[in-house]
Amino acid sequence: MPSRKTPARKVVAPRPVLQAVMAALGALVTLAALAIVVWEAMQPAAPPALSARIVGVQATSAGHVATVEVSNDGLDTAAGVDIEGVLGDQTATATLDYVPGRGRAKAYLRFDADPTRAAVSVKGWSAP
Amino acid sequence: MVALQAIPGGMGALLARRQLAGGGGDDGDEDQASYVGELFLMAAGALFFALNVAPTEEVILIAYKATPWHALALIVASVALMHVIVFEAGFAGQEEAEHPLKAFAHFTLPGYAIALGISLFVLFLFGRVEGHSLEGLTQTVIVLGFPAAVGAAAARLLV
Repeated sequence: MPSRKTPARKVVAPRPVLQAVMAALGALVTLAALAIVVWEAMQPAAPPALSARIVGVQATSAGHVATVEVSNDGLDTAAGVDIEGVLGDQTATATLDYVPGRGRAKAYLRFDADPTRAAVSVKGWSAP
Repeated sequence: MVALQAIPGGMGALLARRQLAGGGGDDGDEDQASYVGELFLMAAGALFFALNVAPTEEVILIAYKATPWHALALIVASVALMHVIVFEAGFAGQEEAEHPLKAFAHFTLPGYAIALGISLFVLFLFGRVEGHSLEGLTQTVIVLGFPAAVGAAAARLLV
């Protein structure tokens, strides 16, 4: 009786059609991943280009919370992204761990008054 | 959170039972396993490894820091390692490849695709898909796909 410690076991009974379909599917997925990565490699270098805007405001028991969406139009990821929102004489800040290249992330700023007209900006970031 | 942690925990318990149960008479039953069973086994191995690695921040950090060329090398390394572990390295439980190219096409390539699919699913599960571009997400999937591919290959040897 064969044991699992026996090297060079017999491979499972073949199922030609399913094996061919799975081989094609496997090749397709692997080639798709390769194609996306090669396409990305061919793009010119683009450092992070960050912009922030308020996409929502919610009144809570702790004050008004503005949802800020930060978009990164560059290819490189930005880390430790500092966001500042100014409404009258009140300033609120938040830090995002990462904003991925050509991606976006959300942060939340708290204000005493309705921050719909608050000015939000990205103050700085670092490389991951 | 408990439910999520229970998945790799349960699979680990299953693996321990399989490996530490002693020399029972039913150890060789993989020889009767179907092709679908082998693919399922690879998916389970990939899920086991990916679920343990995906919650860490290092996965996305590596993906963010890696250049596309690193990702390209990682794809080649993952596929090569999968094939070598199962068919070439001579570990206990090694599979017999009647034809290396056929084994590569029928097991290694589908196995890698399964590892990438499982990686994408696990990243989605942990909320690491949102806000990423296609190329950024692909790079993260490839990074997590490396341990997932090793898990898929190891599952075929261990179970």
